[in-house]
Amino acid sequence: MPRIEPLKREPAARVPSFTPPALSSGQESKVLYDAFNALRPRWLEMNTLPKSLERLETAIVKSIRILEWKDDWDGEGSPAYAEETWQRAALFLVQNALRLWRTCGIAVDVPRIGPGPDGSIDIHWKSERRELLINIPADSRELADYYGDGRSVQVQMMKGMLDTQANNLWLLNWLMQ
Amino acid sequence: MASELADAVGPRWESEEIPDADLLYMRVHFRFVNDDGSIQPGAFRDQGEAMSTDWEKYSTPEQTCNRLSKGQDNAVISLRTSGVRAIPDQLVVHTPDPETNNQAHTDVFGDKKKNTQVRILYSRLYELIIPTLPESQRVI
Repeated sequence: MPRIEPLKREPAARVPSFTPPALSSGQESKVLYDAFNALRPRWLEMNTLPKSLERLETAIVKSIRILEWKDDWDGEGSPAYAEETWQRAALFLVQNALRLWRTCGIAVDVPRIGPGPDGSIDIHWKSERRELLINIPADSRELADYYGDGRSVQVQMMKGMLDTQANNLWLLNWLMQ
Repeated sequence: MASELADAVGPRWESEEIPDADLLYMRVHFRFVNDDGSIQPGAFRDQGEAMSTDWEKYSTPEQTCNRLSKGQDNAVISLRTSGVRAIPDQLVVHTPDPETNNQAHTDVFGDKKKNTQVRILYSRLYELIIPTLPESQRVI
């Protein structure tokens, strides 16, 4: 059994949920090892977030709980959430938060990452200045829908569809103004 | 004979026009409740073709809460009908439901799934009537 090297992270503290599984002998251990390695590139990407984005990382890690919800989790027929949808939401956040940090030196506010309609995931920011809601659809082929506005009439309303894989720095930049 | 027949098919209620000033009650599952007690925009979604609510003329908030077996899992919020009608493309229709013996049942039609603006506007409109604990404060 190959040895899993500990993930390197600097300079923030490790998040326990990202710790590699402890390996023992046996088939179950091999399955765990394979599953972890399949996800490893994404764990690594998240684990290189700077310290200033630690709270964002914690929010993303916490949000993984929605993958545990089964069909009809609300007693009103809502479907379970797919790992692919959650990963799309997490990657969108990580990639664009990093762009904002590296380009402008701004740490994005921490959003609420929660259940959206029909297996979609909502990313929601609400501050004293501005509010932004992005919906990551359950169908990976669909674009994400977004809407944002501000408390002040001078803030221009933002509304439309976006490709989550594209550079969406402008949207988080708008949010943090 | 006539009354037996009526019992068999259930009550027949006419759909009525809901005044702008009246309230609509809506159940919200605890997983849509934030730690500060506020309601997430995700709570405002269609179940089937419409968002299901109860008209205050024929329901109390407690009745709305307990229409499902696990009433303790739900908060109840109210929405002013005039406010709902002011949200783009939303249509309030009184749709009494004999199957569930719910004369208060009211559907709110209009897309919410692919319209984040509509859900943001709903989240600014509601008032919390019956709170419930968010998931983070529940003992499993």
